[in-house]
Amino acid sequence: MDDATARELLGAYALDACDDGEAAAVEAFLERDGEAAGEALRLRETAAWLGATAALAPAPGLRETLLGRARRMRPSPAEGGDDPALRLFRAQTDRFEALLDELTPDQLDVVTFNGLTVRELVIHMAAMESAFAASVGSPTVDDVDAVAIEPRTYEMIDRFRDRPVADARELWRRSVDALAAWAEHGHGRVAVPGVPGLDLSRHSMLVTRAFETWTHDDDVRRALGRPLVVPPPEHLRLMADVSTRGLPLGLLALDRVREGRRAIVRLTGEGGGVWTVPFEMGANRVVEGAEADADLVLTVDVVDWCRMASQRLAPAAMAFTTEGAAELADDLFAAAPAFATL
Amino acid sequence: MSDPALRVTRTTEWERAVRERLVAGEDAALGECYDQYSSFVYGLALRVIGDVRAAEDVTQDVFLCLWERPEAFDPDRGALRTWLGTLAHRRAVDHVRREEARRRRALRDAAQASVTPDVEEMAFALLAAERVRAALVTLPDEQREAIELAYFGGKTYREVAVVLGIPEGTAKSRLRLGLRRIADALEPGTGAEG
Repeated sequence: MDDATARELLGAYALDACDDGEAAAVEAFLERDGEAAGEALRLRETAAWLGATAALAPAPGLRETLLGRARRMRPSPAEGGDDPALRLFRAQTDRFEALLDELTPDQLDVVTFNGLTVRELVIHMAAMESAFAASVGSPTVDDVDAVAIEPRTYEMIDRFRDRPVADARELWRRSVDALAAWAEHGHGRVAVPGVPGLDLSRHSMLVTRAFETWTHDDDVRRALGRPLVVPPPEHLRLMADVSTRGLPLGLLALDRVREGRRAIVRLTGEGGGVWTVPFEMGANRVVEGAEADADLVLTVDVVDWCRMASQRLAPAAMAFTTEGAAELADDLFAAAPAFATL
Repeated sequence: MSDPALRVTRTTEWERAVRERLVAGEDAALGECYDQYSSFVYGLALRVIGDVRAAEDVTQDVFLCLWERPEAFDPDRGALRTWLGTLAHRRAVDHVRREEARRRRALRDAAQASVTPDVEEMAFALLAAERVRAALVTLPDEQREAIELAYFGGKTYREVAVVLGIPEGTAKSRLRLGLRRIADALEPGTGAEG
């Protein structure tokens, strides 16, 4: 987008009336034009004052609910400390638990995206986190035969059929705490339950667990018609990073290796970034930044990318642009969710 | 960064202090921010979404974002009101663009009957809000319509163009010119907060 076009969009941008691609282009323009940035801020402030004309006090109970959640959410320095992956894992799991706190009994039977009810989804979460807890040597449940996530989920749904959902939630929480406790001091690689030969670093394990938790948090919200929550940029960034770094393995798993070819994946919006991705495993690794001579430049909103990678958004429903070998984008779209489960 | 004299809202010492307290993890600071701005955030979300529960969700989400990462609010890049309002509006617009705003009207009416206005925030914002309303009234009709459709209706400028039957370029310029006029009316020296 040229500067004159971006300048014309400043009013629409301040009112959130651009599409995502345009907003990203305007933000890039504002980075390089201080005068325009000043106008954008002035118009944003004005928009906020427009909002003030609608002021209305929320119901009195909301304050206590909010402060209660805030007290539970903020990881103290002892919990996660300076480790961004552990902070992300704690933050996402705390958010999910806060969401569970608000559910009414009838909402437990609402069917979510993957066909599981909310109650079954909680059991699914317990099945996954307990499998990972066992994988790091801290088992939280006995005598569940299945290790792979889907059969384990169905086995546990049977087991918890006549029990209150609080039991599954308690197992989930205990397993999350076991993983976090391991992560405080643990290192080495973690075998992915039910996928022989696939293991993850401690960092990737924490980030992918957080990513999955966010995805299911979204599932519950979507099923109940509630607004979706977008994680803060530094958390999005971690999930986007792990997701792009996993692309070569996904391509290999799907037999879509293209030797010598590379793509620049440009994820826009707060928490986004740029990665150069080879279409093969081996000496060429995924690196941050745009390397020269890529075959494809794929540009897409970071939140859309994450939702696509978790199979909650079809590639066709994303607003993305390509430069170069556009057909390679289909390989990336296939590879991104290669290891997604339910 | 703009010349401070041209800024619509000035960052206050209270905002700087409260940010430091949030960084230190003091939950009373979050309570103060909530008391000051909850009516603003909730009212805006409700006006855009038209659903009490979803507006409460957005309100919680906005204040929890501030709680989780107070560093993201940079007093040198605008006031806390702008930061909260921008986040609240984006969240609300995301929601309505995703969901059909099916329950909008009925629930909006019910909501307005069932809640009590927050006197402090209302008083705080009253003067400025009155000035904004006054500025809105003096805008040419076509600019006011475009701004209301975009901001409170959650429509993109392209949708505004379709609704009003005007070219997209015209919609863009109406939004920009209209907002500028309101900004001029709010400028320090002519009143408002500052």
